[in-house]
Amino acid sequence: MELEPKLKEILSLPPDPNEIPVETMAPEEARRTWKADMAQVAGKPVAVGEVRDLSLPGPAGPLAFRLYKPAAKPGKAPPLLVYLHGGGWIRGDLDTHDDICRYLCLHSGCVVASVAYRLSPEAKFPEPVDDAYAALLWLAKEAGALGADPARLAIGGDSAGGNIACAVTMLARDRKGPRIDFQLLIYPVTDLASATESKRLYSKGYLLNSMPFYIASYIKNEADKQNGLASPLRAADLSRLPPAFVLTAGYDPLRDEGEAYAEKLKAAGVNVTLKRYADMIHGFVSITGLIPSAELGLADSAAALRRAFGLQ
Amino acid sequence: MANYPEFRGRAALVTGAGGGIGLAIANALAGAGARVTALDLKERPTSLAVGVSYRTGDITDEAFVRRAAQESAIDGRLHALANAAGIALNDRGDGALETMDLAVWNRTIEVNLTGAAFVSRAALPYLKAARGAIVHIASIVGLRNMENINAGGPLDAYQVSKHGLVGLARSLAMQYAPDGVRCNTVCPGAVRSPMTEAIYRDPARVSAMSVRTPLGRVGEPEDIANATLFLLSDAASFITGIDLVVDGGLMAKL
Repeated sequence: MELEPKLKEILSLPPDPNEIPVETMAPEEARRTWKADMAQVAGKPVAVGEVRDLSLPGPAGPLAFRLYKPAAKPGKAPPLLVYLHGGGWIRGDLDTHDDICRYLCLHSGCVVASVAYRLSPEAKFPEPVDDAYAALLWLAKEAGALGADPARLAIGGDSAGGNIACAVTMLARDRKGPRIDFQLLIYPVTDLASATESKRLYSKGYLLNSMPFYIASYIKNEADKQNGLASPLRAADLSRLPPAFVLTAGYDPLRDEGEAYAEKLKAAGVNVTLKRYADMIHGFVSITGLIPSAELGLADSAAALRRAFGLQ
Repeated sequence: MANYPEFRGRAALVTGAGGGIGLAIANALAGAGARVTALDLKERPTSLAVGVSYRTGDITDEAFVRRAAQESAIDGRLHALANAAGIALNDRGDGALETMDLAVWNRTIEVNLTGAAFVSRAALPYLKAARGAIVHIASIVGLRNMENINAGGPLDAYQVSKHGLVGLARSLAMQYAPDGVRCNTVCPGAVRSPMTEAIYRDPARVSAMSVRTPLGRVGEPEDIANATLFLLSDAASFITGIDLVVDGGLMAKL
């Protein structure tokens, strides 16, 4: 399938000669500029019942999180979705993914907790994973106080956040942590050592141009790439993981590894729905302000959450 | 959870068993096989172990307390007393001494301190007969002052009542050591219970207290029951006159 027409038009523009490559930016600069860029293309923030900025105890100090609650409804408290933002491990925060979390909260009916895990290169693998797992434990324990149902728990994330989400599902299984009922993996990074056809085709000119730099920022050494918590596709055991909805984009260097992970989960007996958004690029759920049809990925995600929890 | 087979068949008396910490202690003792008598002003909670004998009444009513203590003993012997009844009237004006309504002060002292004193006094003859043990549920604010305990302000009546319990425990420990009766306090930090329900209903308070507490969470009534059972058990037979702090590390922080 062809690229979405407006995306095709934008991606065929000549490169901005003044653009500074992310590889040469100081981390704070990369975060600041990306945050400004994302604000230009993000979707319109929809209203939810309540939004609060809070913090929780992380392994190396407090971690900020943002709590999104749907409008109060009679009956059982809603399920909780723990959300991990993308941004190549080096950037992204509660603001860059605010529109996504609001959308998922409103349209899935879940309470959403978006967690600001520590970023690379200051924090290296597995510290961001440790943060996310500590957040999962605390949020699951305090679900009641947060207005969510402690018995119904999902995890989700996009890109690097999807990568960390995969690791968290394995930790929850192996450390006998809280039962996660559902995982939402939006174009996740699943293999830090992949050499796929989609990487060969789409690593330049399709938005995600700096994957090697992000990976190098995240890991401590080459051996980390073989660790199943960094490269979930290389994990020895994918059985007994939560049912998954995996989204990939046709023109994304991470397409093949996302789809390979979905297939490997299936082969391990996990209930998986895989959907490829054939005319889209990496990061499409973050650019719905620019490309309205990209919203389908979020609509499908919200619907998958509703289905997983039997919500109307 | 530790196993204390010595509780099997022994008589135990628990106040404040209508919810929260007292309820958790009553259930833990019952689970260990003790024959528990439980007191509270409230109606019997549905989550209380079925074998527990429950009496609704006011521990500041000395006649009620005397009767309950007598009825809790088996063959004149009572092995364990847990004074967990307590109130915090922060929503009704407990705050700074200078501006507090004296009725709030008096009621807090009456329930938290005088109540525990009445129950201890009534139970002592039976405790001596059994060489039993007392635990008062005090508080870390019975030992120290805590910032922001009451949304930024003091909680003077509560704090003084809990300091009083610590002093009472010390004195009873010395007086009744010759009789083999031990007396200690457990000093909880932040714990989720009906008394603190209004506080920890607010996610921001749960969040702030979790971040402030070194062990990263708000305590549960079971955390306090665990410490209480230890102090009441034979495993603590050489421990008297101490305050066991159960606060996730709050007090250890400067």
